Amino acid sequence: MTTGEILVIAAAAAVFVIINIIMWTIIAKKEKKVRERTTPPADINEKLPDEAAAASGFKLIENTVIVHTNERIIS
Amino acid sequence: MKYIAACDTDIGISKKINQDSVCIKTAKTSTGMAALVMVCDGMGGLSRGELASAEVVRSFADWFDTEFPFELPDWDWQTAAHNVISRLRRLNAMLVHYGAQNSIQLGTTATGIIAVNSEYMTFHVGDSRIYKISDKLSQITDDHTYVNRAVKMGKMTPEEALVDPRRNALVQCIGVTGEVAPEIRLGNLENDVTYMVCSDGFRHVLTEKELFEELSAKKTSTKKNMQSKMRELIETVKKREESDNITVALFRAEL
Repeated sequence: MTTGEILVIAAAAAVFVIINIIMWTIIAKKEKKVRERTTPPADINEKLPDEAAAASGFKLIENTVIVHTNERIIS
Repeated sequence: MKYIAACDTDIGISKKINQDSVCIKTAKTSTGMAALVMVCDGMGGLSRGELASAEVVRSFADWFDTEFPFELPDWDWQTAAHNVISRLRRLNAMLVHYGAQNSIQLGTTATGIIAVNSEYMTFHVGDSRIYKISDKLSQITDDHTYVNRAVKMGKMTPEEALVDPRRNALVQCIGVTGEVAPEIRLGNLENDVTYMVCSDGFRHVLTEKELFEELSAKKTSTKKNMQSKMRELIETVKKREESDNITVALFRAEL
């Protein structure tokens, strides 16, 4: 293998590494943006545990509903 | 704290279908107890009264199961009253729209109690009633009838109202009138007090003395007692040839 051939292979490898670094940087930035968009604001996060606790403490004891038709009005 | 509730309904001796709907729900919550007790009397003179009463009861029952648990942490009665009025108005608009689309008239009364811990709210449209039974019997709703309004305006005596042919005519109910103005009252639950919600078919042929004596706190101390007393009174109503559907619910708190 000549010195010229070795230089070409080294250059190709360097280009491959650089392209990978750029590609993964772009992917990481996009994923970060998606995470930010789907995470609720802090105030909603703070309220959820209370409501969840109240809802989980809610247990029906008596549950009787008597109606005389199965028909429904879809509004 | 403990809530006790029971209900009973009967088609009666004349009607081909029971147009009344009834719901009792009690729940244990992280702060105590909660309840929904409700009676809807589908309008006998209108077609599809059973559909109207069922829609209103289902709406409140669904609210109690799915939305109410999430409202409890920030519960306040002013907001609750506002929400109940909005719900009844939405249901009214829905039934009026359905009736217009299908060229039918359907309507229902809507009367009930929402209780949270030691406090309660009554909501009411129509001529179903809520009675408070303690050391006396008190009617805590106002009949939204033509004759009751005439009596209050001094145009008719209570005696005349009892025999007036328009005594069952309502001035407002859910599904018929364009606007409804639900009656809302707030109160505190007490020990040894039973609340009764009933359709007019239940109370027409029973005297206040009978209601007071048969449904006193002592005689309705357990769910089983409530059920047997309600059934006894329903059978009495049928023997006295009441022609309407008959529905009653009882509710009490042990604080």
